[in-house]
Amino acid sequence: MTDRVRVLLADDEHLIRGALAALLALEDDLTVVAEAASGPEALAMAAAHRPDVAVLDLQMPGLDGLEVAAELRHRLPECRVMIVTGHGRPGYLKRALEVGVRGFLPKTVSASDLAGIIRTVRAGGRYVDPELAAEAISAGDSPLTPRETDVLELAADGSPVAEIAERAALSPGTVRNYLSSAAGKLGAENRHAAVRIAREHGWL
Amino acid sequence: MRMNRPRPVRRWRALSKPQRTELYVRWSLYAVALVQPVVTLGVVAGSFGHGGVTGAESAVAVAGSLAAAALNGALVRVGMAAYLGRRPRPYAWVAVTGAVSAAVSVAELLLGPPVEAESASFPLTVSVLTMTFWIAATAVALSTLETAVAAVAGLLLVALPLLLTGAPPGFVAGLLTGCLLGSSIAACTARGSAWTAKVVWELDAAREAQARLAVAEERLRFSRDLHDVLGRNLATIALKSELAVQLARRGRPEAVDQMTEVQRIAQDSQREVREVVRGYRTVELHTELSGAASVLRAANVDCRTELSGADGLPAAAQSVLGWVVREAATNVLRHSEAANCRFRLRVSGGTALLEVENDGVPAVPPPRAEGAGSGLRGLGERLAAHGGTLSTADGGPGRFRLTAELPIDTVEFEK
Repeated sequence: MTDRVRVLLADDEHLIRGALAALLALEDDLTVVAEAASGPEALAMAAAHRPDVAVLDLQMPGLDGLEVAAELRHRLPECRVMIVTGHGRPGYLKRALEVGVRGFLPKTVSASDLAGIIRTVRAGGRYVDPELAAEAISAGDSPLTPRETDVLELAADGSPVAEIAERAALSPGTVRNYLSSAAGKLGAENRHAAVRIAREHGWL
Repeated sequence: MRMNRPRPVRRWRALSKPQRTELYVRWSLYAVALVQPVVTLGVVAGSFGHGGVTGAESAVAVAGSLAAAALNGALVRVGMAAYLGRRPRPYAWVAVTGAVSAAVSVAELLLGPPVEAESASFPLTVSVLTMTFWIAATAVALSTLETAVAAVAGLLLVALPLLLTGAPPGFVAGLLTGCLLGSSIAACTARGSAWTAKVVWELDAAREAQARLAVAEERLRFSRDLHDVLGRNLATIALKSELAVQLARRGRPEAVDQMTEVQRIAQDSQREVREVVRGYRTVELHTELSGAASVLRAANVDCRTELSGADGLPAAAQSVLGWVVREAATNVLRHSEAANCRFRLRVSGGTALLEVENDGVPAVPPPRAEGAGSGLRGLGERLAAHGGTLSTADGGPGRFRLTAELPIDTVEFEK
């Protein structure tokens, strides 16, 4: 490949983003053309710079990595999208695959591996971290959406709805809706029982 | 769709089960309180045309029973709240309702003919009904002893004017006893209903407490394990980084080795943290298969599973075969070429046979820089440790098949 691979990096943790950008810049065949600290910024940067590969953090303010990936699929279909995540929630991997994400890897992947995976993805390949995949598979077929799973996770330590709402940056009504739909899907009486059931199945 | 439901249905659905039970019990008691005016009206209607019942008697009976029923309903409402410990006992409500009921009864008895006369059945019926319903409502609100005291006091209040107007004491005593007996049955029924609601609330609280306890235990395990894993590793990382800084300042090349170590420890820590988060659950084979199928379908791979006898397999065999499923699915996932994938499990003659067939992935993946190709080799070793074998074969043009064969220990199987 003679052309250098043009990479967009989006991560709201600027220490990590800066370090990754510096490390990727050391690779001869990669160029980090843009950096973004939020979902909307990532979309704007992608439109302006038209990168070959977008490396997105799963959790970002504004739009999360999956929402950006779904948008990019429409707006910039030739751009390959990779998701980097801190935790391997089963639902996220499935969602990511559904929106056409080509790479799914943990945040602690070493920069040289990341460079290799960017090349793989650029060449049309797919890379899913084996451990994240194994976790998603072991969890079985969770009926919960990623959002419901998140909210239920926050409810796991017995926090009241108001506190969950604050931590999830959602309204208490929305939190209550997520909790009750999660409890409904799990056939649980209340959110504590829902947490227990989800834990037993490894959905949390 | 949810929004189109009528408001009462939505409100009912939003209630917890104990709330629904309480609502049901409360409205049953309201309905019972309504029985009093209904029966009284019936008695009034039935007495028309017969001699002896005056217009004044009928008017007092109708108005009095309606007023008493309304007050009884209110008494049941506050009484339930008191019985469930949400407010102090409503002595004032009991007194007011009792006074009104007694007043209605006394007025009825004084307006009517002498109680021993044969035509006195109308005032007697109305007053006994009035007092009984008040005592039943009181039984919800007060303790058993207090209810008994209130009932006796209320009935004496009715008996006193009777005695003063010259009714035979024996007759009055009999009337009192009969009324007490009848009203104790009514009181037991009312209190029993309230008790049901209370028990449901208590059960709910117990279950909630149990769930909280389970959460607390899980949290304890989690924090202990997390501390074990992270505490040690973070200390090492801090020390090694400091060493690397000092070495780098002096231009010593060993700094690189130290930082390579730090990187490795950090990656190990993340793996260990994930294991802690995942917990100690054992995974069943069918869970693993449905998980694999759902992940593969999300990646647009048409995935089919055929199982027979998976649930009967011993835990150890499920765990080993679960690993095969996981590795094979991950392998398919990592390559975008496969469009379909089939898992087939057969158990026969003490052997479990798991076949994974797909149309895009060589059974042995090419070695990669990330060291991911070791999965299948490790799998073969693990199967061998359980006396099983792993084989790969071409399943036709462009198709690849992975077969895992595992003997099942029949002794363990029967357990």
